[in-house]
Amino acid sequence: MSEIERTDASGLLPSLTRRQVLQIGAAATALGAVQPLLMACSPAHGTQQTSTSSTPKDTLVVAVEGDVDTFDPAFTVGSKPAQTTIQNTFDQLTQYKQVNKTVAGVNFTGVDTESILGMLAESVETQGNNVIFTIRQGASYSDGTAITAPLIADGYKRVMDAKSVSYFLLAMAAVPDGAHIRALDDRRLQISMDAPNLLLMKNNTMHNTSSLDVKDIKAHATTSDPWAFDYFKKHLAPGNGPFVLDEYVSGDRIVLKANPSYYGDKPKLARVIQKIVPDANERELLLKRGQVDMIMVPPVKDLNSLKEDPNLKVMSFPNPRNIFFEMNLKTPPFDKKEVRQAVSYAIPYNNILKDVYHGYAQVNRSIIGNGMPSSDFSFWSYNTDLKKAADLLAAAGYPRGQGAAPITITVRADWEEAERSAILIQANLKQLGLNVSVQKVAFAPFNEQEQGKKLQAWIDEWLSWVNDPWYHMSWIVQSDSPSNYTSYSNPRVDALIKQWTLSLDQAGRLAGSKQAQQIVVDDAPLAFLVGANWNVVMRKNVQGYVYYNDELNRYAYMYKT
Amino acid sequence: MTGSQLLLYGARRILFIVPVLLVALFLTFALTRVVPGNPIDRVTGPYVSQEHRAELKHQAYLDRPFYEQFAFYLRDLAQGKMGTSYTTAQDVSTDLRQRFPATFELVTYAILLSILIALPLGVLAAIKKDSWIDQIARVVSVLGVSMPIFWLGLILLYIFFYYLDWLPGPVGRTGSVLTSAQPITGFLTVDSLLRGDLGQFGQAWRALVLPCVTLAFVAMAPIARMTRATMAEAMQSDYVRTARSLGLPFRVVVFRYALRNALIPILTIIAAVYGYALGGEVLVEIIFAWPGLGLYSYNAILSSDFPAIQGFVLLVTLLYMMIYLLLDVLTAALDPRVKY
Repeated sequence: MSEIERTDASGLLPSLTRRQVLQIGAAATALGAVQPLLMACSPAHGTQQTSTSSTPKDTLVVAVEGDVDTFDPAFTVGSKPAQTTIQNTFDQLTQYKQVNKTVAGVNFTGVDTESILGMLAESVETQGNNVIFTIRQGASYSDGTAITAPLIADGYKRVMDAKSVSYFLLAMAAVPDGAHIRALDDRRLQISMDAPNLLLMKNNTMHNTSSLDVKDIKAHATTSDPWAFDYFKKHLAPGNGPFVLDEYVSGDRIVLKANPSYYGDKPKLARVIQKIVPDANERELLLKRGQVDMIMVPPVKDLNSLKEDPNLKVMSFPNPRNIFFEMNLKTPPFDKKEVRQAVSYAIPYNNILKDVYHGYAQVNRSIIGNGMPSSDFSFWSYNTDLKKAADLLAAAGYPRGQGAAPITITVRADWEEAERSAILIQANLKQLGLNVSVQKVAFAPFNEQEQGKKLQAWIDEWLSWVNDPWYHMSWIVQSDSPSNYTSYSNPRVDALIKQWTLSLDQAGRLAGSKQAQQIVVDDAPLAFLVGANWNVVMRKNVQGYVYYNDELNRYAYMYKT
Repeated sequence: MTGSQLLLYGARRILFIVPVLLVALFLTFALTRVVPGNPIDRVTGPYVSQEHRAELKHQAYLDRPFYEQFAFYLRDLAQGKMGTSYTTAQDVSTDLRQRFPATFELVTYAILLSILIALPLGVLAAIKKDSWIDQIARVVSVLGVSMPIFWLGLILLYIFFYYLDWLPGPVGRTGSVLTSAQPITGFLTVDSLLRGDLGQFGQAWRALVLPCVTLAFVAMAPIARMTRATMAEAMQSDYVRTARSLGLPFRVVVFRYALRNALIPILTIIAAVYGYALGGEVLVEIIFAWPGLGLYSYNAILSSDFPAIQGFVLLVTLLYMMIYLLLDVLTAALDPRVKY
């Protein structure tokens, strides 16, 4: 056959050698492989490719961000999955009342932190310095041990001896040691305060005050560790909450199952699987594909696109979480108030709100943020104004930044929003003539330097678990507080904290808080960047999420449709 | 080399492990103490008094001079105590025991896969220089070296999980809903077979595919390059020319003479890649939420979890040394000229 005869009848195809056919075939195959890749990577694709949930109706699968740090309620501070596990397996004496609320224009089911209801205690009575809790009849630990006042009293004594977070919470509320907690009889537990106050009832709702059964403590106690701290850091004790721990595989999953002997309303979910997925983008993929029902700590930058997905719902709760730009008052140039005020004027608040937090944050203009009683933004005067900032810098003796010490803004390497905020702040401060650099450090060195008060300027966040202005300010701006990292010290603020923290005069507490807020705004040890929302994303069929101030999921109220 | 010589050599090498381990331990210990950050601040948060914080540092010997801390560490280690992790509150030995099988299973399958592909590819590329197969070998080598492993992992996830939905997503060794029974060996593919649970066997394999391919693709590059280079050299050697001139079949020349002589450097590179992957496939574990050693060490480093970091380095050093010991034994078996 001649070359001409090998062309097809239409004459459209040129003659091809075997090699060319193979090459074209290979190219077509490659193109076929690339097409899905390109589609997968295209921005629009994310909203198209979702599927129905593949998890059983009675099982909630939650992709969580990290592992358990400890199972001991008295010690856990660093891991939300650990705290959530404890919260769902242990009840406390009291709890906040659930209400429908509106904060910053957003409606949601949350809690009224001023209304305390019974939990393990069926009633609470305050008599002078004493609060008496009457334990509910019929409540038991998951192993069947009946809950009595002496058991709870022993649990509290253990909590106090741990000298950790829960001890601090109770000591702040004038309950300095275990001797102040005793069982009056089998059902009545008395907590005595050195001074009557409103804080105790709030601080006492935290998961850290969960009481372990003394029988379990004794079973694992040693002579050097009579409260079995070592054992229970590694093992979850039998609890008394709506769920029990079914399985824990380190680094992989924490599985809870409904507690059949729970005294309260039975949870609607039979199982909750908290799957540990450290990468936020992977959590997002799993949710879109329906392999998990809910994800924690979603990437803020993706919330808008997740919102467009018809199978998902983004829940964003305004809360009193403060994102601070903090300045060390012991380190130049921040030892001068004018410099701190100049920085406060130079910060591009709106850009941070829109470009970094994409609207999933609230304007914040005070140390007492949105949703906390007495929050007042009227003392604020630092709307972004580089002219005013330059004038203040000159007044401090640093005209056009000349003579000012170089500034290093430190941010945590694992916190993208802080880094992006720092870069925006750096750009504005440079316009003032200041020499500013941004350094990223890992979590542990950041923590050490911050707690050692060695940082010069940095971005950090603070959310008070207890929704009380004096609790909040005691931590951050009281001179001798271990977490007053800026070394801020103002005798007037200290005096106000001392006067009002344990006061029973609610009106005076609120008025005093406004005074303190005004002083702190003027002294400007911290600039209030935004109030970052708490965000969770879940499949549309997941219902019953209630926002609590500690940001821990309460699975007992959740269900799937 | 006779069997007794080999045993003697093995014993000498095992003794040699001790000083190497000591040096590795010292370096890790020194580095963790030099770099800023300490675990106590992390576990306490701001909620404890300075006095109690100081007491906790004292209990962990962190207020002692460096050499004393090291001496205490060695003493504890000699008693079999690796310490307690500050990030998991578990004994480090327990953590390592629980997580090692996940990493070992993943890395072993990935290296086997990379050998299965890279070895024939390298051999074919060497004997058919500048052919299309040689070009493929070059492309694979260049891509394997230059392509960031996290990028490859993400792309594979997008295509095979998110887009096509053929394989499980990044939910570790089991599906998001499945739970695994009590481990026997810790290797899910083996345990499921031992139990006769074919469902879990399939699930374990499906979960392994993407992380395995990701890791294997990167591991393939150095193996293919080394195979091609050493085979090409062997094919041009006098003994191969002689063998071919004597009329031996090409297959025999390639596999019995050239490949066997080229195998020693290839084995060395496989051992190096295997050891490196066991200790360094952190990104793959993060992307695929794989509950192995890489993820553990990553979290430990971020949190300045000294006992966990030291335990991890100790284990990886031991593994490295065992792999190299095995390599030396294999080398001796392959090459009669090798004398120890």
